[in-house]
Amino acid sequence: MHDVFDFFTSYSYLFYLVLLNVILALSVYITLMAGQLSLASIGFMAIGAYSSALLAMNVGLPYPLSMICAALISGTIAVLVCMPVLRLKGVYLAITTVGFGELVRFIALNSDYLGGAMGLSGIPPATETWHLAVFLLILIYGFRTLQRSRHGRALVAIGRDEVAAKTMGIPTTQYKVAAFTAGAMMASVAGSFAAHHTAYLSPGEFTFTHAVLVLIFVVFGGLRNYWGPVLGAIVLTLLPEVFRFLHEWRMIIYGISVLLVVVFIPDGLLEFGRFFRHNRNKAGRSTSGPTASEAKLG
Amino acid sequence: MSILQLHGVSRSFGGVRAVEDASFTVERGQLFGIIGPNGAGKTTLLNLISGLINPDAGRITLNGIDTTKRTPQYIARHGLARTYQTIRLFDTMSVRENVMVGGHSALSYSFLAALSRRKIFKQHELALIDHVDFLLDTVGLADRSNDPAISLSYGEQRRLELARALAAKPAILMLDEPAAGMNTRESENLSNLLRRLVDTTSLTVVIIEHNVRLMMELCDRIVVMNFGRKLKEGTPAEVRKDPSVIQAYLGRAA
Repeated sequence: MHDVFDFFTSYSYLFYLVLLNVILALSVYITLMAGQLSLASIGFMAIGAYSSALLAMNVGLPYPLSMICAALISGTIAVLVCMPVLRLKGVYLAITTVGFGELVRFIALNSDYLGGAMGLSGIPPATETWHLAVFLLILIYGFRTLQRSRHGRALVAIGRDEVAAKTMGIPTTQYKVAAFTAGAMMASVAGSFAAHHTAYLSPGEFTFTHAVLVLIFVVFGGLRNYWGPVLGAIVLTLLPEVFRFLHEWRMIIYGISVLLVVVFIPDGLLEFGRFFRHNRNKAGRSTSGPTASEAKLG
Repeated sequence: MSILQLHGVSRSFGGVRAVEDASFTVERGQLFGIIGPNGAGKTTLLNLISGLINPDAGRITLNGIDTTKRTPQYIARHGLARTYQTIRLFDTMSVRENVMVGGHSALSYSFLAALSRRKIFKQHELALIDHVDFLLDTVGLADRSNDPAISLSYGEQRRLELARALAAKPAILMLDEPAAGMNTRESENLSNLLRRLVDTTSLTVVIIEHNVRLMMELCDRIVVMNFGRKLKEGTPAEVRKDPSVIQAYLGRAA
């Protein structure tokens, strides 16, 4: 028992990192469900982090409340940003959302109130790793419900064929705004967790590289359901740690792993099993597709 | 009251008059056919009726409601469902899920109701699955319900689109070349199915098809389009005899 406790305390930071990345991956996944390639998550993470830090430091809001207020701020900004941005599709949307993330970062970098390049320190530390675990469980429950409800089907339908979805009576714009806003709020909560965990914030934590890394988690894991991004974020967060003994070579292992998965299992790590099953009975059609379980009701 | 009325509907794309001054009335319970050579404006007409594009002039009424400038969503919720000439399925979803999306507007529970597992959520979903399985059985795809839509053959995909359109329990169903890519037996089955649907339910069907023989056997009333204009309207027998129709299809007699 003591050993188990030891294990958790010595790897506490790693658990925290895995949970944080899973939450971020899910925040990107929900917009991707509706076919929207948005890289704005890191920007909203920054907004969430700075908002809750400032609300706690300058207004004196207690920790969970500052996080909720920050999420509401992010949600409001998301709705405002949505209106012009969601008219764009594909790479144009991706580029615009990258611009949004950079805009947020530059504001933080150049504002004295936000600490500038020196960053913001003295944030009251409050985040425990189990807070993230609880939040993640709530998210998983939400995604599980989404997948079995008309709302989840509508999102996927919009992602696959927006015109057809429209003529099925699905209010596509509302759904896209809702997905984008929900993703922004998830990322915002992740940001608040981060701010109150390390008690320090700097604009360097919210770069374009981070935005792309989170997207890689999602693509690496697979897009078919929400376990894809969860799996992707877990594996890719742990990978550099597992290969720590390889020193500088570990990032090369990381790159090669991503490459191998994208080339050989383009549908993501989640389809690993199916990949082999498919090769074994290529001739026959798969009768027991995993989609059978999706149609069931919880 | 007739279910669908068009009054002088026109639409141009650049300099091309895709549909010009089209007027006709579809009565409840009719199997209404639209035929015409390629480029006659048939698909544009369906896009106008379903709200994907707006007319430059004219008026469209659906079930007594003016839907001329309405969104596709509004028109869908007021009882119109359609299929597409170029199949538009949700390719990664299973056959059953595709049809379930079709039933989207028949359900009304909120996401909060789903999250709190309220009774209405389970009731609606179970009722939808029942209905969907019935429809898949009707179009002969019951044994494929868990397969991804993309794994179906061309003819099967057309039948799936039909089931998906029916899932909304529409008052009027518009089919854009539903028999394209089907063999003779399949298209015979399709026309039997459509006839049965129209006779046993209160469904109205508007159908575009190139297979003129199929249309002559199937439809109660036919509109012939040529170069965006209505050339002739009448029963199949009247249309078949009309010299202008024969000319449009076969060219001028020597």
